[in-house]
Amino acid sequence: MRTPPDPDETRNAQRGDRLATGELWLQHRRFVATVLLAHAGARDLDDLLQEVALRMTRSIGELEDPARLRPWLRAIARNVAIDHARRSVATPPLPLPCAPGDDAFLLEPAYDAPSQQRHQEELEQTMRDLARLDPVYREPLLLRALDGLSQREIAVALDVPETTVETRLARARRWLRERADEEERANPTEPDRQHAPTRRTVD
Amino acid sequence: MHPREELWISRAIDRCATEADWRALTAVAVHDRDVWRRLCRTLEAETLLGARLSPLLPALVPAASPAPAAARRPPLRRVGAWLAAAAVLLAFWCGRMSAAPPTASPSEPRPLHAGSADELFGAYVAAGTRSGRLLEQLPVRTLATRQLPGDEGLEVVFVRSLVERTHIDRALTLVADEHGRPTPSPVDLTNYVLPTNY
Repeated sequence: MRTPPDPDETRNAQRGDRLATGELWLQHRRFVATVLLAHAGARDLDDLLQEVALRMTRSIGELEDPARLRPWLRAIARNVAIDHARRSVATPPLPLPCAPGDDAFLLEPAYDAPSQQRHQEELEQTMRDLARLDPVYREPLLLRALDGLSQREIAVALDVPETTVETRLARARRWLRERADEEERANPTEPDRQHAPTRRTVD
Repeated sequence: MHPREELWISRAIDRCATEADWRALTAVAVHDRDVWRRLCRTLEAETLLGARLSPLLPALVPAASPAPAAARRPPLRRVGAWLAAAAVLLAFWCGRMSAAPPTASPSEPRPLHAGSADELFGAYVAAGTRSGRLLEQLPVRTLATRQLPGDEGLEVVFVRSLVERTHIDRALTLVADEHGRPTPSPVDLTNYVLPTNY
C-alpha cells in the first residue's frame, strides 16, 4: 500500500529540511520514474531520475501549493523527458538497462542466463509496443499498472477530470488486451510452454 | 461488443465497479460469454505489463519511514546519513545517534554471535528497518560472474547498496595541524550545507 503525499513533509522540504526532501524523493521517485518511462522510454532512466531529483531539490521552494506536489513533479519529469528527447535526436539508440552482457545488470534470485535473455526480449518487445500507444493513454496506464495510483490520484497528477482518466484507462486496457491477443496468435505455443506439465517419454 | 463494456471491465479491474456495473456486465454475458474472457485477459495483460516493467523502476516505498519523534529536530540540525554519504567533507561522524539502537528480543539471534556474513547482514537489515535507520535496499548489481569448475556452480561478484539515515549532534572533519598531522576538527552543522548530488 502506498502512502498518500504529505503536504507537511513538502512544507518542511520547502523550509530547507533536507531530511524531508530526501523523504519526499523516496516517496515519489517511483511515480517520477513511471512518468519518465511513459514519456522518454527506458533509455537513460537512471540519469533522467537523477536530473529530476536535482531539479526538485533546487526548486522545491517554488512550489506554491504543497498539496500539488505530484502535478509539479510530473511537470518537471515531462520537461526532463522532452529535453532528453531533443538531445537524443541524433544519438543512436542504446540498449535497455539490465541487458545480459552489460558490465552491470540486476541479479535475479536464481541466476539463469536463458531466462534473463527471455525476460530481456520480453521487456524490449513491451517497450516497443508501448511506444506505439499514444502517451495520453500510456501515461495513466503505466501510473496504474506500475505505480498503483488510483484513478483519482492519476487525475490529480495529470490535472484532468477523473472521468477522463477512467476513459483513457479503459481504452488503454483494451489496447493492451488486443496486443496480448495478437502476441498469443503470433506465438500460439508460448503459454503452453510456460504452463503445460512436463511430459515424460518412456522408451 | 457493448459500447460501455470496456469501461465496466476497467472499473472491475480497479475494484470500483458498482453493483449496476456488474449487473450490466452479467447481462451482456448472457448473450456474449466471451466478456468474461476479455475481463480476465485484460487483467492478465495489465499484470504482465507491471511484472515486465517493474524491474526498471525504483522500489515502492510502502509507508513513511518510522522516524522517532525525538529525532525530529530543527531543520538545520537534522542531517541524513544517506545524504551525507555523498559528502566529501565529513571524514567521520561522532556523537550521539538519535535513532534508538535496535533492541533485540531474547528470542532473536544476537548479531555479534551470528555465524555467517549473511546472518549478520540479515540481522543488520532487520535491526535497521526496525529502528528506522535503514530506508531501503537497492537492487543487487552484478559485477562479474564466473563458472566454477566441476559442479561447484557459479561465482557471482556483486554490489549491495543500502539507503540509510542517522541523526548527529556534531561532526568532525580531518584537518592538518601545525606539524602536518591529520587532526579532528569540529564542523559547524548550523551553517553546513550538504551536497545534493544524491
